[in-house]
Amino acid sequence: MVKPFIRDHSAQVLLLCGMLTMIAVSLQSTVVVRCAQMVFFLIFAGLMGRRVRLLPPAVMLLSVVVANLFSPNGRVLFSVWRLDITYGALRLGLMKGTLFIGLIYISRVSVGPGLKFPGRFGALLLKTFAYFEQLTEKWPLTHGDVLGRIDELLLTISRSDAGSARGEPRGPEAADGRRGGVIAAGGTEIQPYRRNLLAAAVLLTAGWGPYIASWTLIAADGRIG
Amino acid sequence: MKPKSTPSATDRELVALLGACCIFLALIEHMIPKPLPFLRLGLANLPILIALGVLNPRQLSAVVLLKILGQGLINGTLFSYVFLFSAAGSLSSAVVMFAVSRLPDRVVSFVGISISGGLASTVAQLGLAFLLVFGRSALYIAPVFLAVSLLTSIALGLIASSFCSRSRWYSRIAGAEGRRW
Repeated sequence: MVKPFIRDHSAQVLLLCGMLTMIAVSLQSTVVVRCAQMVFFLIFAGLMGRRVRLLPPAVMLLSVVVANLFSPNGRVLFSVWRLDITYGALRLGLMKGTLFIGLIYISRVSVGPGLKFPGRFGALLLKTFAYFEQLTEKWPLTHGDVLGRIDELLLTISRSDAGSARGEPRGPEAADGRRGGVIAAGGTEIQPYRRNLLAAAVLLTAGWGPYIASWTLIAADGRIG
Repeated sequence: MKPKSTPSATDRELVALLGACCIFLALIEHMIPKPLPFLRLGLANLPILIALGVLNPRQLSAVVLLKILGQGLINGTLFSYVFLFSAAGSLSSAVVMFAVSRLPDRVVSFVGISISGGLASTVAQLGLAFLLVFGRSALYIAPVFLAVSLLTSIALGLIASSFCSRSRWYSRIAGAEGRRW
């Protein structure tokens, strides 16, 4: 009774675990752990067969860190020309950048083939996840006219969507709203439910494990309670 | 002409795309350093501002709901007071912006709509702060909040106006059904 249910809903379990993992990563306050988690989720997404590009996250991380350095905070580590590099600003930049990239790759792992939700809102939610993934993947990291680039990006996404409506193959795809949404498996390969459940367990462990471990250590030290 | 009231597959696609844009912009905003802790640009409101001309109230509510959930998830505030503040701000702002955008003869520009939404959001959040956190002290921070909200709303309105006036994507989705400013 339970096994068939889990077998049929493994993709939903994976998504739910992905969302819980996002909360754990957001709550993580140790910068080294957050960095390690980001690297882990990036590698894990690759292992799960999701497309992973290294340059865009690297550029993104660097730009977030640099932007944050202009708001000095805490003790000065060193100076570059006239800019004081402070510990607080560096830490904040790393925390934000790693969170950004970590969430993207958790999302990519969580939204997988076989995912379905009942009803219209389910279809809408799925479609939103699919579009979010496309936006993060296709976001152009170039200089120049920002609004023009956004317009071009929205046109590209809308065109690819029109292509899918005509029956051309595309990644995540929502079905009729009354039946809910289903993400089709890519090609002829069907992802087994065991893989989804294993991925869910890995996500939860990587997300909540360090958080729980740090609290356990603190409790053991007698600093709380 | 008013937006369509019967949702089609294309409308659902548009709602999902705008919802995804809200979440994406919330993520971008989260990365931008803030000189003051409460200073927020409200970038995630841009898709809602743009959606006013092309979606009916029900579809707009769906976009707002997606925005609230997405923001809570990204900022890690889904189970906190902050989420309540965010939800109150987003809902009140959407209701007021929708009402203002439906005034006859399109007398209010994007900037005006954005200002009304920004102020509604700030007033709702100050009201909650008054009731739940600060009490009467909330009145002391009100002028600063309202001033910041006014400035960011003007900026957002200008961005939305500039985008809609030159965007090929917006021209396509607005078409004959949409309202143009």
